[in-house]
Amino acid sequence: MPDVIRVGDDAEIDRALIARWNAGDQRAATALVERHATSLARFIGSLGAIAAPEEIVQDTFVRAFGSLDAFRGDSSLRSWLFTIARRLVLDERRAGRRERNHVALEDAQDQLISADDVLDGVVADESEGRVRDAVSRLSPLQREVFTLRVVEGLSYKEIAVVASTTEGAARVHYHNAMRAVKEFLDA
Amino acid sequence: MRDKTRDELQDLLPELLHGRLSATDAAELERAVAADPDLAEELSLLRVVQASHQRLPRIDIGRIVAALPAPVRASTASVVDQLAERRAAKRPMISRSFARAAALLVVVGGGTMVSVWRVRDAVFTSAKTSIVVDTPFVAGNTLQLGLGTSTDELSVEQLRALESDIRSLDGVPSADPDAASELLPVEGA
Repeated sequence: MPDVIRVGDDAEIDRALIARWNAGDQRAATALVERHATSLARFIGSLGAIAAPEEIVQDTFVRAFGSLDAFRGDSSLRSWLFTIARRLVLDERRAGRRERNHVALEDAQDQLISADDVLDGVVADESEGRVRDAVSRLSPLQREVFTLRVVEGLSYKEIAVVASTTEGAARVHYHNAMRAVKEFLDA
Repeated sequence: MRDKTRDELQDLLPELLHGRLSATDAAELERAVAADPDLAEELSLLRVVQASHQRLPRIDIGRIVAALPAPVRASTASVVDQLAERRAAKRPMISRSFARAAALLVVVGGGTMVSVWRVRDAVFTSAKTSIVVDTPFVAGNTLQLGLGTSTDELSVEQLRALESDIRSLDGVPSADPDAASELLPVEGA
C-alpha cells in the first residue's frame, strides 16, 4: 500500500526550511511554526483536554528548535513534533501542575466551540457533536491513533513513532476505533 | 489499486481524505468508493470526524517564534573538522615546546637527582631504619580503573566515527520516554 501514498512533498519542504533555519534564516522558523502549530494544537487537544494547548504547542517548538540540528529526518518533522508534544502532555499530567485545568475532553471541546460561537457565530453541527461524542468514548490510545490517522492524516508508520507502538498495533487500534465509532453512531 | 482488497482500500480512505494519493490512485479509489456503499459511508464519516476537530483556539504564531532559541549551528562545518584544524595549527608549536621542556628536564632533573642522592647517602649511613608497608595489592594482580578516554587521546578518524555515531541518534528533546499505556483515561471520558 505505501507505494501509492505520496508523502515526500511535506517532508522535503520541512527539510529545506530546517536547513534555512540552521543557516540563520529566522523566517524559516516562522514558516515551520505556521505549518505545524495548528495540527499540534489539535493533536494536544485530542490527547485529553489540556485547557491551554497553546502553551504545550509553544513548549514543543522551543524544545524541538533547541535540538533541531540533531534532527536527521529519518522520521517526518511532524511526527517528531507530535512525539515531543505527547511527552510534554504526559509530563504535565504526571507533574499535576495543571491539574485544576484538566477537564474532560467533551467539556474542553464544548468550551472551544463556545468560544468560536461567540467569535464568529458558528454553531456546531449535530452530527459533528455526535461524532465527537463517539470519539471521546474511545480508549485513550484508540482515540490518539484514530485522530492522528483521520484528523492529522499520519501514516501508520508515523503513528507508531508518535505513540510508541508498532505499525501493526496502530492499524489494529485504528480499525477497532472505527468499529467502535460506527457502533456508537448506529446505536 | 485494482488488485487491492476491500480492507486495503478502506485503509487508504484517510490518505484520500488528506490528498496524499496521486491523481490516478485518488480517481481509482473514488470510483471504488462510488461502487461500494460501505466505503462511501466510511469516507463520509471520516469527513465528519475531520470537520468536527477543526475548531481550535487561535495560536499566536508570533509569540511562539519569539520564544524560539537562536539556531545552534550557524555553519555546517563538522565539529571534528574544526578540531582537526586546531590540532594541525598547534602541532609545530607543541613539538618545539616539547623539545625545549625535555632538554630543560634532563639538565635540571639530572642535577637534582645527583644532589639528592649525595644528601641521602650522608643521612642514612648513620641511622639504618627500615619501614615495611603492608600493602593489600598482590604483585602481578594489577587492577585498572577504566575512567574513560579523553577526546584528546582519540585520533581524528576515531573522532569522526564518534561524531557519526552521535549524529545517527535522532534527538527527542523531552523528558522521560513513556509507554503508550501511560496515557491515562480522562476523567469522565
